Amino acid sequence: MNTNELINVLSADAQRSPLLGRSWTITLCLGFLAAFLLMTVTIELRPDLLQVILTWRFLAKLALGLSLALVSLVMARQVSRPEAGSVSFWLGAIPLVVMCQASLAEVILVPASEWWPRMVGSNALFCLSYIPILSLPPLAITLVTMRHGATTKPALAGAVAGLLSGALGATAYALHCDDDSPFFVALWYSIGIACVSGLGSLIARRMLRW
Amino acid sequence: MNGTLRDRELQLADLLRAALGGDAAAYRQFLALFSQALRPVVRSACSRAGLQAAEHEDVLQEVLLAVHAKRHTWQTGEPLGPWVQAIVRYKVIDTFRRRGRRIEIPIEDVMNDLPAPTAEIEQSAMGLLDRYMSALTTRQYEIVKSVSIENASIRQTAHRLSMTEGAVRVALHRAIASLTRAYRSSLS
Repeated sequence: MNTNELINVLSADAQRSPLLGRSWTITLCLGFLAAFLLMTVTIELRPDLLQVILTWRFLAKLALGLSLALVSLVMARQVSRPEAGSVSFWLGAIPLVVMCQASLAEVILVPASEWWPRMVGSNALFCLSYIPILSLPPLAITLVTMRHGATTKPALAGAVAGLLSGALGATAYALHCDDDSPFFVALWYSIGIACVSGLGSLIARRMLRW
Repeated sequence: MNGTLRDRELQLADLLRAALGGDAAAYRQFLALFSQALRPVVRSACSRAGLQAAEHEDVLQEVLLAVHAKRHTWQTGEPLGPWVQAIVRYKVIDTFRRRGRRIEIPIEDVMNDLPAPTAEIEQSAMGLLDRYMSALTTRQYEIVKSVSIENASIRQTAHRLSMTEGAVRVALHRAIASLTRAYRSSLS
């Protein structure tokens, strides 16, 4: 087939194609919904949710997850475009500030002898393994959306996809987990999310090539 | 045709914008102008990478398939240049890598230095694409042949094969996707 003939074929396929903008909002919602459903059917909401829902520690946990999710959504959109010159990594400072502020408050409010037990928490290993598990469905959804884009930096795009999915998984997990101390969250949640980010990057090296 | 560079980029952008709205004629014109402009760029990159002349047109066709598959990622309000450049650079490097060539190619000049479309005659009529046609189903093959070689419209093709136009469109769309995949997985 020569190139003119190829052009005949391609121009016959000029249908209106879907726009990327809205699919990211859908990805965010579907991703969270998937993680949330998986959490409720496997490990269930914490029973005292209604009592803690307005405590600052619980809210800080949610704020961390949601701010990280939103920030990585912005970066995911940027890195999905082929000409993505610059990804706004500085946005990562927002969830970081949330985490530091909450930790600082904990330092002030809690005596030093309590710091270590609070950081270790009651089920760190479970948290460490379950955040990645809850992040898998959003990771799948996010990577499929990204495949629809055209990233020229697959590994980076995968890491961002993992960050987004990890944040969604962590937010869902926060509704189950009764370790509310910002120390615990800063340590174990971060490690869990980082693992998902690494996994995303590994998968994307192959999956996001086009 | 012989306007300034800026005019040519704007013209291509207008055509692609119309194409994304479903205008097949504008899309054909876009692909024709774009491939003419791209051919010298691809050729010189290929020569520097030491590819056989017969492979140059294959690389060009692969870039066209990539532009086709990813055309929706261009944001119609943005300039076309940086987007096209990024796609071309990524795809050319990708095709070289799969052919075992590793060279850094300065493709920056694809749009900055968009050559005036010349009617350079293409070589290699029997390229890789023909080999990948075997990845298609019989129906898809008939449709692609009808549309490509015989240059039939969707309607004529549908009539000839006693299919609905919608079914032809869907089959053609899937055929292009298979060809693109076959290209991608080849040589790797």
